[in-house]
Amino acid sequence: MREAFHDRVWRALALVFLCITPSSLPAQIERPEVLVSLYFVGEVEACRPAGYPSGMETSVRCEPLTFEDLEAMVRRPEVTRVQHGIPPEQLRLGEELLDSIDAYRDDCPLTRPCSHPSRRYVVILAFEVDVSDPVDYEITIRREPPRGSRVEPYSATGALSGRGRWINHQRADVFLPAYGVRWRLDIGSWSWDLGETVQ
Amino acid sequence: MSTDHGREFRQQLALLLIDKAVIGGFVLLLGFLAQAGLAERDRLAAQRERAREAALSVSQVFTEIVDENRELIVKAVEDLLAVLNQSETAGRVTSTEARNRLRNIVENLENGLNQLARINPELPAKTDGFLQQVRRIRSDLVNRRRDPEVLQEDQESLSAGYTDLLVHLRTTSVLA
Repeated sequence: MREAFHDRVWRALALVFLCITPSSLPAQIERPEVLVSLYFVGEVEACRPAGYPSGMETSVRCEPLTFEDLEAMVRRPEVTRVQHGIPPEQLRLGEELLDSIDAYRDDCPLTRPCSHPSRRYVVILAFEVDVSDPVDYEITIRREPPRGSRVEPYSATGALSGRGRWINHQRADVFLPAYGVRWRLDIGSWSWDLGETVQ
Repeated sequence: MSTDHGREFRQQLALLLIDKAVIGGFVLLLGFLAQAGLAERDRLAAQRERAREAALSVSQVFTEIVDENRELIVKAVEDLLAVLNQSETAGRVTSTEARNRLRNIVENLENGLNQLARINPELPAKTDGFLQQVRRIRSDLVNRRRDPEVLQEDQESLSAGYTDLLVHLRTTSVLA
């Protein structure tokens, strides 16, 4: 009698285990490697043909950029690209990109933004994620400014392409470490707290 | 008779003594007042001298601040004109050394003008446009490909702005 009861309990536990396991499987897989590329380009290049209609976040009418477009851009001398893997969990700018953004911020500060798109710059974030079935994954990038900052909070969500790629545009000056903006990346059920940008 | 004489003599003597005492007191009072007046005059003269010395000293400090910062500004602008004049600037400034030099030029110019604004509060209104022009030139030099003709235009507009800036700096020297 007691053995039959134990047998039923074990069967029930096994059934519960089998039911739970498939849905929790992605969380148990090790996080994939992510390659992130930061392209510093003029706004009219990032959002052809004439830049964003009014500010960065309201943009909906840009010609779509492909990875091939970005590869072509980087061959031009006025485009700066920084590329690195995640981990480590951070966005590294490097000396040249940091100086470019600093010079741009001096010319068009948050307190006196430049009105003409030809004077504004953008950082294009291009992600390449090493997962087996990329199209199943949603990807989100969030920027979280400190309380009282002039920088607006922002988040964008998309779907990875068949090659595990995704492109996102950001205004360039928010990458300056001085603004203390924190960055977070979510892909499927994985999360990366990228913290503040570093040189 | 002799008693009346004696009384009269004593009365006259008393009156004489009272007169002398009053006159003496009056003279003493005058002397005291004169001395007090002279002391006050000396004190005021010393105060004026100290104020004059302080004014001279402040003026000297202001002149030194103006000279020092004017020199900083002039050097920064001349450095920028030299960068614009260099043939290697054509294209885009990418070397770390040249980029650091450009950053220092803008920072020195900002610091110099901020210091002078303390002496001449009207200065920022007159020089903000020039500072903005310098910031734009730096951003263009590090972030865009420039043709030699565009660099030449930048150089000419910077020279024109520089002439106006020198006039405003001269006004600040006069104020100091």
